Amino acid sequence: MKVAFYDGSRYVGGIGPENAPDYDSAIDADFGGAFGDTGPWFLKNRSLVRTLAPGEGLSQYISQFDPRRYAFRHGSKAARGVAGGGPSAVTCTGNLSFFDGHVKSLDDGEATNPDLWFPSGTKFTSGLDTWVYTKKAWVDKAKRDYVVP
Amino acid sequence: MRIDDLVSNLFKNKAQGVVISGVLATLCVGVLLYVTAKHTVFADPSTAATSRTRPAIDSETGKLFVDFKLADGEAVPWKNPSTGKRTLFPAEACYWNKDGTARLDPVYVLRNDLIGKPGPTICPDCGRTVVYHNPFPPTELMIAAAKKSGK
Repeated sequence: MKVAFYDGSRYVGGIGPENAPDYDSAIDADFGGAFGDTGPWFLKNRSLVRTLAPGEGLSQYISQFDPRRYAFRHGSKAARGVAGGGPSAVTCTGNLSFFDGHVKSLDDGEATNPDLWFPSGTKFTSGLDTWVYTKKAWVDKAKRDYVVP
Repeated sequence: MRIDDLVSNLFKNKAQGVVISGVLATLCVGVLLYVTAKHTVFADPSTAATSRTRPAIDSETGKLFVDFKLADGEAVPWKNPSTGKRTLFPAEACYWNKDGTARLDPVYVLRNDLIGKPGPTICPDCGRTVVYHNPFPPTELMIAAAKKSGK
């Protein structure tokens, strides 16, 4: 089952105070318009910026407001397993609403599962431009020639 | 039953009771202080408050307000709290160095298009063009910058 809606934030360009949520309401918006996002599987999505998530590289060096919190606002829990990242690392929880009407709470890493976002039968013609977490958690799903169930 | 009697009944002697009660009371106060501090002084910053904070730069004085708090309903240009004039604009951050490496502390730049100045905005430090929602350098460059700075 595929995701129809989820707890994404408005356009967040990256980290730092200059990247608080923003939007351009113009029909030909240059950034963060009124329409959809790719979903969080994409490394450069702007609705769930995981740049400071544990294991993604920058989290161990930069301590700033974590932009995941703009999107996934339903609490956080200690990061375990694939997420890793040390004793103070956390994952953030958000809600995903599926096309059949059910809703599920997942953490920000779990929400990047490509199967949730790509139409069934999609075949990747190149490796997925995705997060370290996604590549570790679903090794085959981020590779070329993967067919989405 | 008086407290003294209760203590006498619970413990072999009064001194032991006083010590154990003291330890328990200290533990309770410690837990209370920990919980209070966790939800106040050491609490995560509010997402709502953070989302209303922007770096702003004054178009007349050039003064930078790194954590400028936006009031409800405010529109650009914002009011400079120092001068009272509406001359504050959102500042763009440039994380690049001239040699193509990244930096952790950005240079904040006022975009030309915000103040009706023609031409592209150029970072005075690195010479790159600065745009709305100026792109962040690649993660590898930021990690290299962090390692270089010893963070």
